[in-house]
Amino acid sequence: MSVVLEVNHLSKKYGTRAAVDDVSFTLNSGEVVGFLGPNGAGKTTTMRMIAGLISPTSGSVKLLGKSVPSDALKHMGAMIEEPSFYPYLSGRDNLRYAAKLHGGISESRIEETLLLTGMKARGADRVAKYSQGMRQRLGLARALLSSPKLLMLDEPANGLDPEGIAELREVIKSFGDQGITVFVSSHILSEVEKFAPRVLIINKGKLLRDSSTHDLRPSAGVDSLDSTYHLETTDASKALEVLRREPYIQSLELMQNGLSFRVPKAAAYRLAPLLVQGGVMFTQLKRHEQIGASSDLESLYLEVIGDQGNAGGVK
Amino acid sequence: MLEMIGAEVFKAFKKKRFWVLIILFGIIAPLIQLVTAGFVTSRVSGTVADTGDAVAKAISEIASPYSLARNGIGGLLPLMLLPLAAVVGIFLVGEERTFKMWKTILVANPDRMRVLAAKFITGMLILGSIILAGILGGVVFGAIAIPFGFASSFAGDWGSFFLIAFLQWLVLAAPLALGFLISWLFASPALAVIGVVVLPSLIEGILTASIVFQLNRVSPLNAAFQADRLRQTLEEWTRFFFTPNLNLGQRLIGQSLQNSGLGEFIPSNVLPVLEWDKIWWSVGAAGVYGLVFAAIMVWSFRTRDIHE
Repeated sequence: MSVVLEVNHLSKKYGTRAAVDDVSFTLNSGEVVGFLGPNGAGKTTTMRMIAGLISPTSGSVKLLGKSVPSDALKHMGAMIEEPSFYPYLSGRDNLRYAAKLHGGISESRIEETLLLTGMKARGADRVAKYSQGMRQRLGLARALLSSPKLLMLDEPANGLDPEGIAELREVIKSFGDQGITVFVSSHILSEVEKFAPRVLIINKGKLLRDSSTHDLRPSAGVDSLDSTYHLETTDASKALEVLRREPYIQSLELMQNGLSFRVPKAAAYRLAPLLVQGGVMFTQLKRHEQIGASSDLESLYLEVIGDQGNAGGVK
Repeated sequence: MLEMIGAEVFKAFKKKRFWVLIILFGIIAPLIQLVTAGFVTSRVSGTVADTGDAVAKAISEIASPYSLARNGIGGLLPLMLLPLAAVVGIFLVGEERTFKMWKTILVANPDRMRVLAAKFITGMLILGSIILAGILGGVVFGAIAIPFGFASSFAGDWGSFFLIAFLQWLVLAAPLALGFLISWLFASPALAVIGVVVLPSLIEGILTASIVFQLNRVSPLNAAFQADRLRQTLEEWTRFFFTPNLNLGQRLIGQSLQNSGLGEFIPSNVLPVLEWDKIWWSVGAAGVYGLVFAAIMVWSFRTRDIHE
């Protein structure tokens, strides 16, 4: 795998305060990497330095072997913080403007990205009329316009409904399969672990951990395991209503053809009778994966960011 | 670079305010003058007040193709110079901050100098098209008015007119650079408008006042000397000011009025005539101001972090 992005000893100081402090990592082609940290940890500042919007106090960024800022940035698609647009232009015209700025992007590529992000039907509407979720989708479409080698997304799930989040997750996974490197920031570990095999954890400007999601997970006993189930149904809203009543069912999310949720292993046998009694018609109830209890993973994340005073760098 | 200019022009095409300005300069302004000419013709022409050819001359100064085109450059444009620069500056620079678009633009095109140059060229194209709309509108409406007897021909000093129009367009680069700079420095569009429209006159007013305050108390002995000193000083100083050097088109009107004999009672400092040495001085002075504004803008634009 070739290196797409190299971040070397990157620091940004505002007066005496270090917003980003000696951060180094590399991203390889086709990798999907989560960038985790609480609000104000330095994620966005790091991303802005990678995008050439903020000049680092020290350190360097190389994209495809070239220092940033340079024309190498044309190979990067970015959505930093909430995506912004000209409200008086339509979604399609905003993409046309971005395409002209990039240069060499065809009209068919604009239509392709609108289709991919589910915005084709609303492409002619002015952005001022868009919901937050639609803006997120259009932002993603714009980031994809130039067929980037590196896609950098800052909190892309903000404002999306559960269905949108599920779709976004699938889309991000598919980018990795296409050889696109995806770098996604979030402050929610449970969100990132669903699509990113590798995570970087940052807090107070310092990179605390660079490891695979698997390594990050604590070894859990069989009793503490949760199972993720996928329910295939045409009546997702009714199923959602029934399952929501059960306190032990967590992480309920609408998928394209049903629902996904987490259930403690010990309570899994109750699912089918519960759905039948609730009058939910379903075609399949399938255990998707077995993972460590979410509470364990979240507490480890909190432990990592809480322990950073002693960490001082990548573990 | 061409694609970036294309992107900015595409955006401008979709902005209603530029069409409003084009319509104002190209249609509304000449139309108002034609209506005025028609009103004068119907109410005064052939009456006892119409002595000699005064009314015909006056109408010709208002409503011939040349007069309408000239009045666009020399009449309406001077009033709108700084507001136009502010509007274009805010559209191309200030709004990128308001709409948080810099992050999108500078990732797509990381060469900040190229981005700035493309925006500046677009700004000049927008201003040029507004001037052109004024000229074309004047000529077309003037031509339409010929059969109605408002004018007899397309006659006029077109050579000087086109040269002045071109120089006026060049001179507009200075207020445009100021518009860019103020829009870049002030986050609020309202502050930017005030900054571009009011700030230069305010500074010049303060400087002028400081000259007046330095004069000694007037006495019977120094009164003539003081008045002469004040006149000389003001004339000398204002040559170097920003705003008095921006308006070239007004000289076309002054010259026309002098040629027709209608401007004999208007002082030359109120409606100056075509004096080419003064015109070239103004072009040079505006150029120096433009370069200073552009240099500050380039330095700030290249070095500032984008946090929006």
